Amino acid sequence: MRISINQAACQGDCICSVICPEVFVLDDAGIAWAAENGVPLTRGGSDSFANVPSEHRDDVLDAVGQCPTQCITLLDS
Amino acid sequence: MADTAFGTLHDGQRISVTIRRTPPAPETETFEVEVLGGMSVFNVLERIRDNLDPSLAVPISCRIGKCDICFVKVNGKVRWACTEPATDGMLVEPAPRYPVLKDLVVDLDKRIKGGSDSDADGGDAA
Repeated sequence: MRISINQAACQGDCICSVICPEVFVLDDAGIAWAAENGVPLTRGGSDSFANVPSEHRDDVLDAVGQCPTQCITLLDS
Repeated sequence: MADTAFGTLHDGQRISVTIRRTPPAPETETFEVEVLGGMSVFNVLERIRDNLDPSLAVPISCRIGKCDICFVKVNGKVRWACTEPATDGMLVEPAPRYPVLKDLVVDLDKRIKGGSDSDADGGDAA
């Protein structure tokens, strides 16, 4: 499963990073970025999709459902 | 029992709520509280604090899901207390990975780096 976050839609509610901080990382403005191995993918485009480790799959799906702006995109789910 | 638009409680129902607390309160404390239909977890916590135990520390909240700071764990899932429907028998714990100040109140400025869920009651703050 891979995920990406639309930073233009993210309003910094940060519940994703509380649920799964290994995959969702906040920048200084409180906007969420998808991360691999704790490193946020800020390159944009298709490079912004982060692979989700299987152990975090349930937490990521939970975060997707909780995000108020629904700004998290799932691939291969 | 008829479901309401928000949750499954009905007026006058008595529910059991277990809360993970900090000393000198017991580690977990269970309250029996009378609720109204459609109450959120935050509404129930407020009711417990106002009517049963004024020493219970509850996160502040805008009550409408806007301020994003009333994080708690409800039955093991991180949720905003003000937008999560209350249920009978629910377990409410402080948000994980933050140092707990008292009961359900955590220090949102100090996330515990690399912390696990079990670190919710302490640990080195970042």
